[in-house]
Amino acid sequence: MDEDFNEFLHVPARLAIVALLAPASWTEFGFVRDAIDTSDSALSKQVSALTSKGYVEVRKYKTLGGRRALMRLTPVGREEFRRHAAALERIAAAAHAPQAAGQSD
Amino acid sequence: MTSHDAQVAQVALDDVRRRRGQSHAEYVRYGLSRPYLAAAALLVFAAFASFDLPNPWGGAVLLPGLVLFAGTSAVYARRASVRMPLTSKQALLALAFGLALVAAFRLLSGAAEAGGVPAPHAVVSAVLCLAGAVVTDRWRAVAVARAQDKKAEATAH
Repeated sequence: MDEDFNEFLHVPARLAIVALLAPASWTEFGFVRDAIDTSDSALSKQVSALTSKGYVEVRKYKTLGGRRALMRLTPVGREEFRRHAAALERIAAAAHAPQAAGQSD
Repeated sequence: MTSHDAQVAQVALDDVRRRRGQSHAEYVRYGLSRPYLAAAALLVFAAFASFDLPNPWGGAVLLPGLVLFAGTSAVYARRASVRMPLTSKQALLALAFGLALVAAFRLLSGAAEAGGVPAPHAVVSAVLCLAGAVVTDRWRAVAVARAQDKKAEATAH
């Protein structure tokens, strides 16, 4: 398998979370939970795993309506995601290369 | 690597693109929501309409305008679910839009003044702000859908 392929990130729930965080500077916990249609506890579990790996940073703060949490990818997390996405592109592209060689004969 | 690996990779890539589109769509949807459209329209109206006020009242609009701008920005910063850094392309687009708005205001208010319209700057700015708010409100759904699809296409190539 491609050396940039990240087994830890490739878990569908984690990859979805990281892909949601990638374009943003900060993203709200509730938005991510609703976007991937999961529960607070399930999302917290995945976020804890990502945080312990140093891929995600969480910031909590109080508002008039209660407590909120914001998340963002760390520079390490952003780089690992970029490398993993590039590996996926190469793996997907490799499926077409042998076919293209066969068609040219 | 097997064809199964490639299929799995493709499915994962498709999901990554869809998720990135979701984030962008939420960013656009919230930024163009009605409360912020209304605040922006009010700010622009106050700034342009103040040209009809005699001195020094024209300048008196500046402080409430700054307060409204600061307050709106603070609420946005606290409540936005997805926050993105402003890109240079977005800043240039905003600048171009602002310049076009000023040009339209000057052209129309000149014509209104020549036509004898009372309080020409207030009338023209009200028309421009109302029209802009209605058009942007209607365009929001389109903009959100484009944000979702455009990001998916961009990362596909």
